[in-house]
Amino acid sequence: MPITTLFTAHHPVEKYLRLDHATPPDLALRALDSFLLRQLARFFPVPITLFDLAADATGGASAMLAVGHYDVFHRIHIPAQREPTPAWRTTFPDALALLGYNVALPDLDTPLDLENDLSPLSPPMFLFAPGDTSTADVVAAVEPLLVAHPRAFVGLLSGTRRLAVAASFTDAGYIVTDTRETHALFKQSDLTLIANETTPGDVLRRISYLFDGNLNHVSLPESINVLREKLDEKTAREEESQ
Amino acid sequence: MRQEDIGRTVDRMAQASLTEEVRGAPLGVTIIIPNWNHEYVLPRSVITALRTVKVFAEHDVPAEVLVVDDSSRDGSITLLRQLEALYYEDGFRAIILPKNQGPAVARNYAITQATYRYTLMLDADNEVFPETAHIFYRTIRETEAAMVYGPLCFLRNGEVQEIYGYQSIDNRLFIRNYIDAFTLLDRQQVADVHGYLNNINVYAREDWELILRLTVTGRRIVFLPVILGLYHMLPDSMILGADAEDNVSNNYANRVYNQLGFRGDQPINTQYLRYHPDIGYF
Repeated sequence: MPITTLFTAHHPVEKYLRLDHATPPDLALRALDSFLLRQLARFFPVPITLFDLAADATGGASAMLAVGHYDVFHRIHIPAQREPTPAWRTTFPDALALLGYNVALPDLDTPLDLENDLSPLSPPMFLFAPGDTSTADVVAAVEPLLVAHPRAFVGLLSGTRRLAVAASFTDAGYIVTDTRETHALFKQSDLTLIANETTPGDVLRRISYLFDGNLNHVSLPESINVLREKLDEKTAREEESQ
Repeated sequence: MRQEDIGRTVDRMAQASLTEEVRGAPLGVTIIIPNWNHEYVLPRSVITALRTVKVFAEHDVPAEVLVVDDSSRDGSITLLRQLEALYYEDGFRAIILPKNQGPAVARNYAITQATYRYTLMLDADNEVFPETAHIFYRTIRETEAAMVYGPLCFLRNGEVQEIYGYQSIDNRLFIRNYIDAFTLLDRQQVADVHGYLNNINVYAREDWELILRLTVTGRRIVFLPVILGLYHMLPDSMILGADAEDNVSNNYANRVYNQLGFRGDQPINTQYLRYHPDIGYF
C-alpha cells in the first residue's frame, strides 16, 4: 500500500533543486504543497490530467513534482509560456535522466492547446502561479480554463495573492477552497483550489484527516508527564514481580 | 522516489547490499530515528533531534532529522504527518515503509535516503544531547572514522542506572557487545560494508553485527569520552527481549567472525582508538 509523506512527495523536487540553482525561481514550491498536490491527484476519483502552468514560476520544480509522481496522473502537460524559453526547460530532460526517471518526457516546447490536450474523460487540473499579475488579469487567465471542462479545477499557488483572487472567484460562483483553512497544520500552504464542483475540496478534506490524531500538540507535554508516571508505575511493578 | 520504488528498494535491500545505493553526499548530519509503534515516546527523541539540528546550524553544519517508520500500527503515522507539517522547514522528514521488515532494513533504507554524509543513529525512545553531538561530528571529520561512539547514560524510572559503553574497542568485542547502536556513522563507509544485516540470527543485535563487520574490514571505530545522550530502559523494550536471543547472536557472531578463534591474537586497525577533538588521540 502506498504511503506518502511530505518527504517522499517532495523528494524528487529536492533532488532536482540540488542539481542546479543558478537562478532562484519566482516561487519556491513548498514540501507541504508537493504533498497536497500529489495526494490530490492520488485520491481523485478519476486520474486527472495536469496542466502545469506554474512550471516557469517554480523554476521547473512543479514539473519535477509531476514527473516524479507521473503514475498518479492520467497525463502531464507542461506548456511553454514564456519567451525567451527559460533555461530550466533546456536542462530539464538531462535532469530527469540524471535523477533516473525513465519516463516519457512531456512536450516542453508547445504552448497550451486546450482543444487537443483536454480529455473528456479525465478532469483537468491547471496549476497556476499568478506572481505579480493583477487580480483582474488572473481572473482573465484562469476563467477560460474553468470553462473549458465541466470538471476542471485550478490549483493556484500564491502566498500573498490568495485572498484577493479567491474572493473574485467566490463572487463569480466558483467553489474556492483555501487549503490553509482546511487544517491548522496546513497554515503554511500556498495552495488554493478553484473549481466548478465540490470534488477537489472533498479530496482535500480527506487528506486533512490524515493529519488528525489524538495527540494535541498544545497538551502534549502534559500527556507525556502522565505517561511517564504510568510508565514508572509499570516498571516498578515489573521489578517487584522479579 | 515514488512509493512503488520505495517498496522495490526496500525489498531489494532486504536481500542485497547497500553499496550501490549510496552516492557521495554533502557534508552534514542526518539524524536517523527508526520507529515502530513508539507513538508516545517518539516526540521526546524528535524534540532533542530538532534541537540538535539547530545546534549544528550554529556551527554551520547542515543537518536534518529523518524518521523511518517500519509500518507502525499505533498512532505513529499520524503523529509523523503532524510533525512533518509543523517542522519540515526545520529539517524534519519522515518515511513510512510499506511493510514491516525490522530495524535493519529500516535503518539501511534511511541510510540510502539521508541527505548528508554522516548519520546519527538515534532510537525512538532515546534522547540525544544537542550540545555534544557536534563534538562527535568534529571527531568523525578529523579521524575519518566509519563510526564514532561515546558512553550513554542509561535511565530507568527516570534514574541513572549506569554509564554504558565507557571503553574503546578491543578484541573482547568479538565475545560480547558493549557499544549501542546510538552512534555517529559515515554512511558511505557503512554502505560500502553493506550496512546492517537483516538476519533473524542477529535479531536486535544488528548494531553489534555492523560493528564487527566494520572491525574486520579494517575500518576505524573511534571512542569519544563524551556522553552522547540518554538511553531509556522501557518495559517490554526490544533490547530486553533480545537478551534471550543472545546465545543465538553469539553463536552467529562466533561462526562468522571468529570461527578459528584467531581474533584475540590478530591486531585490528581500530584497537584502542580514543580521540577528543581538543586533545587528539590519547
